[in-house]
Amino acid sequence: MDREKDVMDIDRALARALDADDPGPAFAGKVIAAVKTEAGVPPASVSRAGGGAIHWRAVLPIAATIAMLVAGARYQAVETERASRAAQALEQAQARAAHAQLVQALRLTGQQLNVVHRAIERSQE
Amino acid sequence: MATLTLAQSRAASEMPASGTPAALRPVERAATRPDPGADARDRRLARARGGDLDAFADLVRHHQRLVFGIACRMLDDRAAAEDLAQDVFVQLHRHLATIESDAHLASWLRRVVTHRAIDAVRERKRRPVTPLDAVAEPMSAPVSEADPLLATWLRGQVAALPAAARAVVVLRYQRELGPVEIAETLDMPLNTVKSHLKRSLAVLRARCARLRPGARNGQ
Repeated sequence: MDREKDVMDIDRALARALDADDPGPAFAGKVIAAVKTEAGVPPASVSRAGGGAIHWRAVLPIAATIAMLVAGARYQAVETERASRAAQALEQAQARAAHAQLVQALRLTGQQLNVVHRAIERSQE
Repeated sequence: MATLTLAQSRAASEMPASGTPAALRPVERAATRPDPGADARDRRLARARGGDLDAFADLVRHHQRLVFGIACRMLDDRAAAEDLAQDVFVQLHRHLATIESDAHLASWLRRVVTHRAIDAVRERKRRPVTPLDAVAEPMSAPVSEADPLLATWLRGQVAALPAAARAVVVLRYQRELGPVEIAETLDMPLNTVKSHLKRSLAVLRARCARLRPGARNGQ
């Protein structure tokens, strides 16, 4: 009867059967070796990784500011170039107009000189 | 409030006034009981977080039984369990910065090793889950719960359970967790945990009953 009761005490039997085993005293050493192998650097890399994350968080606004400054400078350069081109085009247009006026003035002057020249020739005849 | 261990909860379940099976009863943890070693363990965790390998090794030694114990019973294979436990601690080393306290660490380890063990069990394509009824009975009937034959047979029975049910049973009977804590650890609905426990225990009880010498002889 007692044997049956013992066998039927499934809760106690399960707790005993599933009791946690210990991997042995060498286990921690194996873990540390694996950690060193995996990291490839001293374990302080963990804190450095955390510090690195903090460092990046500090650097991010600076990087954003630099990017904005570069973008601003680039925009300014483009605008300056565009204004320069416009001024150049205006100067060229003004030069062309001045050239046309000069040509016109020379043409008129030439015609007037011809008139004067013909008048002089007629007076000499 | 004193801790209600598994044994105590089982004793309580034997009281006639109670209608809830012992396995489904929550385990009351010593949340309010002062733990004299907690501060020292938190300091050790802080040192490990700061890159102290000796402190991390101490931490591994303190928790290796928890991690290896779950892995071993889940995988039913010491070598595979040792590999898994080692991976879990390496993973812990990478995530030390996120661990807030020693209590958090134990909870983190329990959760990670259980989930990874469930994944490992499910990935064992070459070793499909054997239906519980297909597990062979021992040649001779075990005579008590202290019998090594019964323990081996029970481990085989538990190892034959589907991964999730196996995890529930291991967390309940090895870690002495209540259904609520098991549900939190496994990210599983509470009713599913209770269902797994109830069904697994019913099958195991039935199988145990068949081991009785009288039952074997049809008496």
